[in-house]
Amino acid sequence: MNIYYFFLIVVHEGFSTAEQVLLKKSADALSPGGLAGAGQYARFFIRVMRSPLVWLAFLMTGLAWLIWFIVLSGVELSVAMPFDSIQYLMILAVCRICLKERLDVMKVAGTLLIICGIILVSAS
Amino acid sequence: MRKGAVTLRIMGLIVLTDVFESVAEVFFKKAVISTGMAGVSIGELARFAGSLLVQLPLWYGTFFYALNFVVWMAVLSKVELSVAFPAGSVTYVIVPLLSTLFLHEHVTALRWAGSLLIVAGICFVSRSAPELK
Repeated sequence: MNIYYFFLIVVHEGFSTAEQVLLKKSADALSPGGLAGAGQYARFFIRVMRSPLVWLAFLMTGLAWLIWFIVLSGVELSVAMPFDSIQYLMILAVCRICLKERLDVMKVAGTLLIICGIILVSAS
Repeated sequence: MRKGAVTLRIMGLIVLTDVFESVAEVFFKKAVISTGMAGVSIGELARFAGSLLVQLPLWYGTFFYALNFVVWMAVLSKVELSVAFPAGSVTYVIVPLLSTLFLHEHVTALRWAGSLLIVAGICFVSRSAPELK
């Protein structure tokens, strides 16, 4: 795998991370006080589909996929996977910066364990 | 119940999104193969995108992604992204487990070790103190 694909994987992860942040922001904004019962979920999804933020997230999804497809056109999935796990770190960073989520030792240590696990799984 | 905690039901929903996403991923890979293009460069991007859009598997994949999206939004309305996203890696454990149980495939020790690390990581992440709303 050369630097071209590594660069593309990172760009893909960037778009995908942006998508996740936009979706989380929408989910929080559109479900004040939490959801319970089928009726509330149905109304939640109507609001979701009418939210510009969600459509912006879909645009990010499309871009993330397109880049990912280019990666898959040139690299085996098992080769791309370990590099793709960098996204877990990106997610932690944006959760802290954009979503003001609390990062404690358990979360950071857990995420690092998962990354190590993915590298082992894809190496075998 | 603590607000924002990962309950068994939410973990079940996260696993469901993983299943939908894996199926979508397989269809997407199929769509890429059926374009007949390999090692796509930035200059070929427009032609590649156009040729992808007419592949049927791309739309099957999109359908499964839509299912994944509905469940994922329900999950995100309940838990933090910094908890839900890592918990989604449980798929790396389920696949080798299912391959051993149903396909009688040989799973290497290294792979089991990796799966164990992932499970441990998910336990850590989901036990981290939930956000108080």
